[in-house]
Amino acid sequence: MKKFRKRSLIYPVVMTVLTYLPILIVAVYSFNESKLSSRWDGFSLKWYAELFRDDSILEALGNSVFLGVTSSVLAAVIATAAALGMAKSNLPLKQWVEKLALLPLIIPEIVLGMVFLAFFSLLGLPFGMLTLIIAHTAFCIPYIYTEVAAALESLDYSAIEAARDLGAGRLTAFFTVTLPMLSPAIISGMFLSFAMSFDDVIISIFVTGVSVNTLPIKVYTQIKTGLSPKINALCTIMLAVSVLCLTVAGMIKKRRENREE
Amino acid sequence: MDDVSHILEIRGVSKAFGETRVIRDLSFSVARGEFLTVLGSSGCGKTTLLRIICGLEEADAGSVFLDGRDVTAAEPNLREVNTVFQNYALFPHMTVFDNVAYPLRIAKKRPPKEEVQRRVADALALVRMTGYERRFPSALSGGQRQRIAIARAVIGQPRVLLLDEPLGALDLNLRRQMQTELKNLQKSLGITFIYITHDQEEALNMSDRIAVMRNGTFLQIGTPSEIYDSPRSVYVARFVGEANILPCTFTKMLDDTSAQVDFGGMPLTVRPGNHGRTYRNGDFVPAALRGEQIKLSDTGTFSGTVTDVSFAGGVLRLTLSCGKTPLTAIRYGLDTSVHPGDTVRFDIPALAAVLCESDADDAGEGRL
Repeated sequence: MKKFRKRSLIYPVVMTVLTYLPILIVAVYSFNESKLSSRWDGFSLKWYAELFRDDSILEALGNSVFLGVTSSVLAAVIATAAALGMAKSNLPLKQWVEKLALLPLIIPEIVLGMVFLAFFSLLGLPFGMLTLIIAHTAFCIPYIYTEVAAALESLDYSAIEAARDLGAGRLTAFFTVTLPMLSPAIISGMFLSFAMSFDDVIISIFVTGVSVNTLPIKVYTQIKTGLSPKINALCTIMLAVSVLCLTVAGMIKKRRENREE
Repeated sequence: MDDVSHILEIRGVSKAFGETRVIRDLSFSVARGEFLTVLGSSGCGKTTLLRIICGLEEADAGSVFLDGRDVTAAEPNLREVNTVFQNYALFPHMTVFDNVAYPLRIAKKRPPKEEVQRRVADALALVRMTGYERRFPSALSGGQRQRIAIARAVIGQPRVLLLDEPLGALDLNLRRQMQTELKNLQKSLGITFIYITHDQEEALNMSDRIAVMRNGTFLQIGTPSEIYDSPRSVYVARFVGEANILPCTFTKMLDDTSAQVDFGGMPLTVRPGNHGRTYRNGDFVPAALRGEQIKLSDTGTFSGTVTDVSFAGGVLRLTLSCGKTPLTAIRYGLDTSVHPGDTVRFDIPALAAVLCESDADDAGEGRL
């Protein structure tokens, strides 16, 4: 029995090591005093300090945050409206429309990027922040849509009816009861999409102009000119932001499930 | 002209879902301050009727008048009718206080903060839930949620309060206690209650009037004692207080309030009932008889074989077979002198049984 357990432990250990060892090494070396990644000269925060002195990186960070927040908010409005509409409708093609809405999750990003590029040049839109926002909003929608649609499945519609019965007009009932009941799903979906937007490089490269850099694009272009511990520090920060977003999304979801019991 | 002594009037309301006719041309009115119970088994249309009254469902035909005003097309928020829903429908994201204060806060004329606080406190005191203001509904028991739902529904002082099987999910003891409380609450508030239930005991206990509903219509509407003593049809007799149904043959009318029938070859004086039907000699007619009216007596006119004796609390139920007719006799107190297999004689007092209509469209349950 014991032997069996030992052997079965190998697989998860291998999996964990393969996944997390590179991340761990990058994170550890971001605190390395030495410029060379082959040598450990002691703990230091100097790469982080240097990172925050680099204006081009700070600008890219600002762009990324603005892009992530704007596109998550826009996607939240569109996805929530879509999910509500879908829940109410009984179109014969409902199932297909729903599948179509989730397609961006499985379409290869490189294809999406090319498609957006072609589409925007067809429209004659100037490439830059605007095109970035449109593209990111588009690929963020499914993340929020799935969350809200799932919340709608288990939504207690009688609470909305009760609000109407107790004197609330349609709009009042929506803003005082429906939306607050859906807000955990919407917010956790927004954290998820922020994380997705914040680390997207492929689609962004296609749709951004020459003047606007996001953080992931900055990382990508910096690596071309050689690895530097500064990039390690940047990656570590980005990783922390992503993990934080996903954790918050998970916590909100968990709390909602608890309250519904 | 509308009769304003009625707070609510339903005129010729019909509703169908697809092919199913749920409410069939229903008309009735409810007096100010009345406690009306709509009693029926599941699927009889009682919840749909309630939803039409509060405006969450639209009637296909007919009108709803609230205090003389036609509200047939009015949105639910514009009717002074509030509902206590079957599953309570509390707002999960709000505390008890916010739930109860909700109708005041969204009102067009929003009262000042102090008044909201005072009225919430009063409403919570009314349902004896003072001290629970800051809890969330998920931290309350079923009975407590029920009370909050009631407090929330009465705080806006509706003209009519609708209650959709509000005690259905509670255990028996709590249900009995809540029955008394609801009845007292109705008296102290003076609000008209329309109470929906499938529990005949609840209906008999609490109501001023009971409407027995089946297949989208009222079979009978009347005071609890009218319904119990003079059920109009076999279905009503069986549904409310499980009556015995005697297969009789009509002989003649004795006077306006009594008739003679033949039951098992013996003459029996019965009440003809007030459903306005006339019978001819030889007509087959069912008569409803309450179990407690069957008097065991050694010199009784009728005889039967005891098939079962069961003792439930202070009540002894004897199942007799009288010819082909099964009868249930109720006796109070413990009586060990009767055993299954015994032949007993019994009397049916004059005017104890009442003639009723057999339900023509029955699919079995009410049939003789």
